[in-house]
Amino acid sequence: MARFIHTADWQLGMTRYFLEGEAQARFTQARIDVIRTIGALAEEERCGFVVVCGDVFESNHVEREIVIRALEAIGETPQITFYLLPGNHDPLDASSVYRSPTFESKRPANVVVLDGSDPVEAAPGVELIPAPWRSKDPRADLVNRACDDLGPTDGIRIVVGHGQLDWFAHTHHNPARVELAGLEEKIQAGLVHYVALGDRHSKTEAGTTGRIWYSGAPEPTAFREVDPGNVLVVSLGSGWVKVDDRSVGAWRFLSNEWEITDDGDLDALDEWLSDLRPKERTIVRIKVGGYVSLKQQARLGDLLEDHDDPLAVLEIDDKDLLASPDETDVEEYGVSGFALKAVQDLTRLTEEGEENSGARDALVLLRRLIGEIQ
Amino acid sequence: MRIHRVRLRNYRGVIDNTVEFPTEGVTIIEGTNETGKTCIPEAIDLILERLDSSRAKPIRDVKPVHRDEVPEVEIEVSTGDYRFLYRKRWLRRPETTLTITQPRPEQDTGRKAHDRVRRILEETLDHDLWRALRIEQRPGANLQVEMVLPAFNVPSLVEALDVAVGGVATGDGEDSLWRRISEEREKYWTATGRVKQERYDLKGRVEDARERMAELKSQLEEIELDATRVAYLRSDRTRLVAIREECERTEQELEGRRVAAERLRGRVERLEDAHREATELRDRIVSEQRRRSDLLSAHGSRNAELADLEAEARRATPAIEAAIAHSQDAKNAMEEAQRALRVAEADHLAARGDHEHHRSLIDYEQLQERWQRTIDAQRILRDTEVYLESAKVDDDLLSKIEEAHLVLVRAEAAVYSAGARLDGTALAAISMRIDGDEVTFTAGEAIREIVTQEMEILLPGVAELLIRAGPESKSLVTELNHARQEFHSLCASGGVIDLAEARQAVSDRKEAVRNRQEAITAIRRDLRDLTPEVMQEKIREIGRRIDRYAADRPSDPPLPATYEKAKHITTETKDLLDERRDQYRTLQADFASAAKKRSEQELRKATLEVRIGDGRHAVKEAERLLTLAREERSDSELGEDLRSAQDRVDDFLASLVSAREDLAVADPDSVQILLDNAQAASRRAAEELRRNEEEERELRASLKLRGEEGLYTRLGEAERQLRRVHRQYERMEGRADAAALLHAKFGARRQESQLRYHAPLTQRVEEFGRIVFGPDFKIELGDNLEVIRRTLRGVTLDVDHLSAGAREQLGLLSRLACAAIVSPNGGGAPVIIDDALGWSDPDRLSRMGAAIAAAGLQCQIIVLTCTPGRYAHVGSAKVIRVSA
Repeated sequence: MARFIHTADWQLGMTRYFLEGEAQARFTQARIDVIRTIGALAEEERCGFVVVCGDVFESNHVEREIVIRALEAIGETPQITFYLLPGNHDPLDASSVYRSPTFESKRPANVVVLDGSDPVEAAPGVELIPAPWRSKDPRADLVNRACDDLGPTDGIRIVVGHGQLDWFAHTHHNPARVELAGLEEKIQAGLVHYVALGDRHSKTEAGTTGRIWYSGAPEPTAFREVDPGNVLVVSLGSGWVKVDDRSVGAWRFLSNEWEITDDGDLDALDEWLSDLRPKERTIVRIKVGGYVSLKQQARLGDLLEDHDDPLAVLEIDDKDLLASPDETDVEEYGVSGFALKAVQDLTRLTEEGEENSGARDALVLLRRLIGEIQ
Repeated sequence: MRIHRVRLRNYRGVIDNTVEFPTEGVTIIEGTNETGKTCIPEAIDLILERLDSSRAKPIRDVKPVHRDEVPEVEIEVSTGDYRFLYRKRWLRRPETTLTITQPRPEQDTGRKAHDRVRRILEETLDHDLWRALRIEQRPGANLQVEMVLPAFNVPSLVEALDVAVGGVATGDGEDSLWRRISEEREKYWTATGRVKQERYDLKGRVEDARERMAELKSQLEEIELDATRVAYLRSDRTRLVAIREECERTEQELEGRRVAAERLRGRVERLEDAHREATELRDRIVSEQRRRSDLLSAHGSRNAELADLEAEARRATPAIEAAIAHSQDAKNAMEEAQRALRVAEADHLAARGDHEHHRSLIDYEQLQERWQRTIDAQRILRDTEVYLESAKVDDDLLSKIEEAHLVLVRAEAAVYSAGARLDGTALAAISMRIDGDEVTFTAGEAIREIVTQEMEILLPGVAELLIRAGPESKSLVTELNHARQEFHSLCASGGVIDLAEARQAVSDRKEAVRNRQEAITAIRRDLRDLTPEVMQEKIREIGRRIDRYAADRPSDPPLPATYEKAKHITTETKDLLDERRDQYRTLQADFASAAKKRSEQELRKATLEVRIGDGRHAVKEAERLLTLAREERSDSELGEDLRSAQDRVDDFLASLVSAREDLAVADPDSVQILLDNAQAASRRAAEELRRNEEEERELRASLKLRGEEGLYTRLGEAERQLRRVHRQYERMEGRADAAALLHAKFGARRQESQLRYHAPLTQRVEEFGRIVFGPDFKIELGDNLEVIRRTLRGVTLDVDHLSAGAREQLGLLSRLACAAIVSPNGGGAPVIIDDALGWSDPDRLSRMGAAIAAAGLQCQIIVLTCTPGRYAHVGSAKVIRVSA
C-alpha cells in the first residue's frame, strides 16, 4: 500500500499586479506557509511522501529568497520526502531554478527533483514515473511517453506528470496535450496505478478509472478557478484507490456583479462586502452596473473606499454604471444665479451621451468642493 | 422688500426678543456691545437659507450655550405683492411655518414652506444680488482685516455674488465657490492653461515604470531565448558530429584518388617534355632549311635590282645636262635686268630730291610771310593794349559825364536867368579890381559878371562898389558850383577836359578794341597750331635743309628751273623704275624655276649613284652568306636530318595522347576540388562543433548568473508599480479635466452675470456719491464689480490710494447702490449697516448721513450701532434702542 499527498501548482513567487503594498508580501508568504501546512498534513495523515506535479515555482527566475524560504519550509518535515516535478512554468532548461546555485546549495535532504526519465523508488515497492518538462514548449505527450517502455510490475507505479489532458476541449491544438485514453489503457493493463497530474488549478478527477487526478493549486491564483485551495491524500492498495481532498488554502478570489438602481442596492452591496472573511486574504472584483444619481454615485464611491483598505484587493469595474444628475442633485448643490446656470450647462452635457463623462466628473467635483466649503 | 419684524428665541444669548422695524426710511438700532444687534442680520440669513433640518455649524453655533433650548427665528416680510410671516426652529423638533397674508392668504409648512419663500424672493427680487448684499454686510464677511477696520473695504460685489450663488452660508472658513473652483483648477493647470509640472512628472513616472517593466520583460525573454538556444545547441551538436565524421571519411577516399591522379600527371608531364624537345629539334632544322632558301632567293634579287638601277642612271643623263644649261641662261638674263633696275632707282632718287628741294623753297617763303604778319599783329596788339590800359573813358563814364554836363548847363542857365548879374559896358578903357582881381576892359567892351554872393568892385580912385546877391541867387550859384564841380570831377577821372574830348576818347577806345581783336585773329590764323618759337625753328630748319641740298647736289644735270618741272621729271623716272622692277622680278622667277629643276636633276643623279653602290655591295654580301651556309651543312644533308627529326616527334606524340586520356579519366582537378571541399567542410564542421560547445558553455554560465537575479519577481514588482502610478496618473488627469471643465463653465456664466450688473450699479453709486463728494463725483467699476477708481474734481485715483475714510464711504455707498437695484420693480432691499463710518470725519459723516437718508427713500435701511451719535446726521432716521 502507498499513502501520499498529491499536490501541484504551488506557483511559488507568483505576483499579482493588482496586489498593492504589503498585500503582495502576504500573498507570497501564504504560498510558503501552505508548504508547512502540507508537510504537517502529510505527517498527520501518515503519508510517506508528497508529489508536487509541476509548477512548483511560478518561474525559473523568482527571487532567490523565495527559493530559500520554500526549501526551508519543506525541510521542516524532514521525514516526509517531497518529489518536485519541473512543469511548464519552471522547466528543466538551461536556466532552471532546480539547477541554480541557490537551489543546489540550499536543497534539504527530503527534496528530490524528478529531473530524469527513469523510475524513482519513493518507498519500497512504490515507483514514481516522472515526466518532467525540459522546455516550455514540448512538442509531444510527455506523460504517455514516460510510460511507453513500462513492463508489468508487482509494485505500485505512480505517474507524476504535468499538462492538460486532451479530455479538455480547448487542448486540441496543443501538441503536448496528454492523451487520456492512453493513460487509462495503461491503468487497465496494470502498468500504472495512479496518475498524479498538475497544471489545472481546480481539483479535478479525469476519466472513469478514479485514478487520474488533478489536485489543483493549494492556494488560489485567479478568479476563474473552480475549486482551488486543496491537496489530495491518496491511498493505493492492491486493486483499490482512495482519494480524499483536504482544504489547505488561506486566500480567496471572489468576483461578483451588482446592479445598482437605488439606495437599497447600495445597502445590500455594503452588507455583502462587510460580511466577507477573512478580509485581508480576500481578493474581490466587483462589476457594477445600473443607473444612479450623482449623489448615489458619490455614496457608492464612499462605500467602496471604506471597504478598500480592509480587503486585500477590491477591484471595481464601473464601466456599465451610468451616473447622471437628477433634480435632487441639482437642488442639493444649493447654488443659484450664474452657478446654477453653469450646473445646468453641465447637466445638459451629461445628457448628451457617453462621451460627456467629463461633465459628470465635473459635477462630482463640484459636489466635493461645495462639501469642503460647508 | 421690507422687513417689518424680527423675533429671536433661544438665539445665542437672546431668550426672546422682538424688534419691530418701521417700513419706511432709515432705522437705527442702538445698543451697547453684546446686546444681540448683530444677531438680527445673521438670523435673517439663517431663516432664509437653512432648512430646518440643517445641523450645519452655523446653526449649531447659534444654539444657546448653557441652556437646553433650540434656536427659533421669526420674521415678517413684505416683498412685491407678498406679505408673510415666516418662522423656523432648528435642531430639535425642527419646524418651518409660513403664513402668507397678501395678496391672498396661504399657509405652508416644512420644506414646502422653505421652497415657497425661496420662490417668492426669486420672483420679487434679484435673489442672488440680495444674497450677495447680505453676505457683504454680514459681520466678518469678505474681509481679512475685519477686526482692524470694521466694514471698511470697498466691497467686491462679484466676490459676494460668487459666495451667494455658491449656496454656502455663514461660518468660519467660508470661501467663495468660484475661488475654490479656481484653486482646484490651479492644482492641475497653469494660469495660461498649460499642464502643470506635477502632471508631467507623474506622466514621466508612468513612462519610467513602463520602461522598467519592458526592460525586465526583455531580459526575461532574452533568458528564455538563451535557454531555448541551449536546448537547440545540444540537439544540433549530434548533427554536427555526424557531419564532421562524414567529411573525414570523404576526405580519406578523395586523398587516395588524388595520389593516383598525381602519378598519371607526372607521366604526362614527362612525355610532354620529350615531345617538346623532339619538336624543337625538328623546328630548328626546318628553320635552317627555310633560311637556306631565303639566302638563294636574296642573292637573285640583289643582282636584278642592281641591273635596274644602272639602266635608270643611263636614261637620266640628258635631262640633267639640259637643266644645267637652262639654269645658267636664266641667271644671266636676271643679272642684266638687275643692273638696269639699279640705274632707274638712282635716276628716280635724284629727281625726287630735286622735287622735294623745290617744295622746301616754297614752304620757306610762305613761312617767312606768315612770320612777318605775326610780328606785325603782335606789335599792334601790344600798342592797343597799352592804349586801352590808359584809356579810362568808357561808355558808362561817358554817359555820366554827359549827364553831369547837362546838369551843369541847366544850372548855368538858371543862374543866368534868375541870379544876380552885373551887366554893363566900359565906356572907356578901364581897370578895376573885382573881388581883388585886376580886370581890364576896353572901351565898348561889355562888362558881365555873375554875382554869387557878394562882389567887390574897386574903381581905384573912383568908387568901391559892393554888390550883394539875393538869397535865391545864392542858392542857384551854389547848385551851379556843385554841378560844375561834379562835371569837372568826372572829366578828371576820365583824363579829359570836357565833353567833346570825352566823346573822342570813347571813339578812340572802340577803335583800339577792334584793332586788338583783328591782331589776335591774325596771329591765330598765321601761327595755326604753332607757337612763335616753333615757327621760327621750323623756318630755320627749312633754311638749313635748302642750303645743304644746294651744296651737296652735283651740278649735272642742272636743277630743274621750276617746281612743276621737277615734279614732272620725278613722275617720269618713277614710271621707268616701275617698269625695270617688273622686268627684274619676272626674270628672277624664271631663274628660280630653272635652278630648282637643275637641283632636282642633280639630286636624282646623286641618289642613283648611291643606290647603285649599295646594290653592288648587297650582291657581294648575299654571295658570302650563301657560301658560308653551304660550308656548314650542304643542301642534301639538311633534307636527311629533317626527315629523321619528324619521325621522333610523331612517336612521342602518340605516347602522350595515350597518357593524357588516362589522366582525363582520373580527373585530378575535380578530385582536388572535391578534396579541398571535403577538407573545408570537415574544418567547418569541427569549427561549428567548437563554437556550439563554446556558446553553450557561455550561455550556461550566463544563465546561471542571471537566474540568481530574481527577474520574474522584479517584473511583478514593476508591473504593480506601473499599475499604481498609472492609476494615479489617470485619476489626476480625470480630476484635471473635470476641474478645467467646471472652471470653464462657471467662468463663462460668471462673466455673463457680471456684465448684467455693471451699468446700473455704477449709476446708483454715482447718484449717492454725488451727495457725499460733490456733483463731479464719478467711479469706475472693475471686472469684479468692485470700485477700482474714483474721480473727484477732475482727479482720478485708484481706490487703494484713497484714505481709509473715503474707502469706507465708497464701500457703504456700494451697498446702498446694490440694495437699490436688488428689486427689479423698485423698492430695493433692506440694507443692514453694522457700525460703519467710524473712519469718517464730521463733514463726511454729515454728508453720508444725507446719502443714507436719500437711499432710505428707495430701500429699507437698518443701522446697527453702539455709538449713538454717529448717525445723528441721518435726518429722517428712527431710533430703536435695544438692551441686553
